[in-house]
Amino acid sequence: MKYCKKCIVSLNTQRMTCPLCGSSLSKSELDTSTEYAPYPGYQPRTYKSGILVKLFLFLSIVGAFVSIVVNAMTFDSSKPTFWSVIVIGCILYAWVLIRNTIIAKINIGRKLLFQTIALPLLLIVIEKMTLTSNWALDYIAPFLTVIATVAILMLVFIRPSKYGEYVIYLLMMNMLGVVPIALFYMGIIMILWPSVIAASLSFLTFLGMWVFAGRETKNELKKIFHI
Amino acid sequence: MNMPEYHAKWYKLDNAAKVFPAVANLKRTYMFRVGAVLKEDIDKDVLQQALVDVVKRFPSFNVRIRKGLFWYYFETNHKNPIVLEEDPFIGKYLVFKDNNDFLFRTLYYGKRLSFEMFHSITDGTGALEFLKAILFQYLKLKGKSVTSDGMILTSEMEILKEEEQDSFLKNYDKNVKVNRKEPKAYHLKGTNYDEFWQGIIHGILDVDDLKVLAKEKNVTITEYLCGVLTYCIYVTELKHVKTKRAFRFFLPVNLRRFFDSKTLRNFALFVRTTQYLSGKELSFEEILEESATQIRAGLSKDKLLAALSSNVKFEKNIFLRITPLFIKIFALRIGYKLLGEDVNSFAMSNLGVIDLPESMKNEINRFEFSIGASQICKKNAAIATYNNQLVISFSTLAIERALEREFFRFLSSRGVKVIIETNELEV
Repeated sequence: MKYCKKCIVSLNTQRMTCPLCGSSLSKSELDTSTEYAPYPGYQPRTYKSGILVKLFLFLSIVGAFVSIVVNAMTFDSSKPTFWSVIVIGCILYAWVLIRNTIIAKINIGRKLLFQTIALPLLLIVIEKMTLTSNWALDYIAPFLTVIATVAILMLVFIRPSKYGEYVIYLLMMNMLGVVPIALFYMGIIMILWPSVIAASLSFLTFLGMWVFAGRETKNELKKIFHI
Repeated sequence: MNMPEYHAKWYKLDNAAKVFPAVANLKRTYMFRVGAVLKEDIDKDVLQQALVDVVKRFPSFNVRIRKGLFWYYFETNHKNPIVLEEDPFIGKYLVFKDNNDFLFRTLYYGKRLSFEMFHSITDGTGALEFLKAILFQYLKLKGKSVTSDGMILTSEMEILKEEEQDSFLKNYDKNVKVNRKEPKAYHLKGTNYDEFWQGIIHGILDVDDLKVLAKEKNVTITEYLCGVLTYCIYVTELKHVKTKRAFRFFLPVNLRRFFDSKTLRNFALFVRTTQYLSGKELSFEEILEESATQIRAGLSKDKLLAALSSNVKFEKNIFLRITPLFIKIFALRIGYKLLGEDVNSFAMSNLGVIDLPESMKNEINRFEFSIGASQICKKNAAIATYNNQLVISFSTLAIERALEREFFRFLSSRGVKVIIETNELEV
């Protein structure tokens, strides 16, 4: 134990000077056996450099920039094509895929929900740019909701005890599942049967959630919507 | 077979807890610390086992926080809490995901066992009960012959529903009139450390010496220390500063003393003294008397009930309730800035006198309690008393030491025995 004559205090410290006044310390008569390092010494905080992320961000910008320039330089006004939009769309989608689906440590239901929204958006862009028929909304969008719903249902069957965590995503997926059929009646989707399959699965899943796990579903909704 | 997860309990956040998840950030972490210094070095594996055993006894600590559409909520956490060796950063912002979703951190370093609690789950009193239970279980697993004597919440004691109660809601009276107008407070100046480093300075004071001093002035020890701190801030800073703002001393109050409650969740409010010190010539006696008078006036059940009711009334506002959480977070941040922290100059929290069963007393040297500092209140203090030692812990974001120096010199020159420990980085 050390002692500061100016502050009239004993100190348990490895320092040579008083942390209060900065003057030098003397030995105190108090028992020295209690002396120990009270706290670990200072080490600078470590930060992730994030160099990989920065590199990919820059490469993405370069890719988008180059494709816009090349697209503009080779632009043929008799046959206008905007293929650089597809490139940019793919780059953005790659970011969503890597950051939110592959790397992120979030609920799988949430990842699937993300994909069910992001992927059709990309495909609609490609479809519009390539001037092909209405395949992205007619087929891909409804079938994606089917695939995602089935995937979550399988997860629930594998570990029923985790059902609660998926309730909100299942419900949101159910809502997404009926969007295609609504779009059909608005005249945006031309082909009916994939939308009917998606909407039916959504409806039946919704029913199943109440028939087989009504109490748990209700409990989960109570938590989420309590005011 | 394991209990399916959907049988997990869930809790609404209590009235005080609701605001913290919205306003906590890297610079203002809302982590407070309770700790004990044992006589022997801590054994990590035994501590881990004790922690896993005890956390089941404290369901309101064994939670993770989740977002609903309108409010946050807690639900049972099925992972195991982890024990970490202390790193040099005190009260660091807690990323729940990296902590198995728990809202508290368990730390050991040498002989010291500490918990850093996020203020949403509990207040100082609740955290202390948890610490005592862990200490008991730890010592038991170490093979010490300890008995709880009914003073520790062990696994044999039934978990009472009252321990999980939101006592704010329970005691609120909707007919109480509220007045929210508050004068703005002066804020201490200082140079920040880099990287949100927080300095901590423990002063171990002799209670008997303090008692003599307090008795001389006819005040309690808390009132006395509050007066000394106000005086030291006046001498080191406010005397020389020209400001219209008041010096406002924030003193948390354990409401379990005033209302019947067994809750382990938040149940504390505060008294605040308001003194205009800038540029005046005042003696220590004048300042002490003013502090003591204002503290006594604030410590009435009626006044505390009014403050409690006004807080609950705010929470019960239907427009606030039906606002989606992400908008509510913004509203809470603004409201907190205006009504919460901006109106404090300095905070001192007193955990009170800690008592342990006789069999445990031989194993534990002292208790420590500290509350974090923030950009606005750059220095704060907290007190825990045990075994005739009062440990006052200053936490500070500022490098300057004038206040602490003045404070300890004030006491030591009046005959109080002081031992200092710090986590100071040698600059």
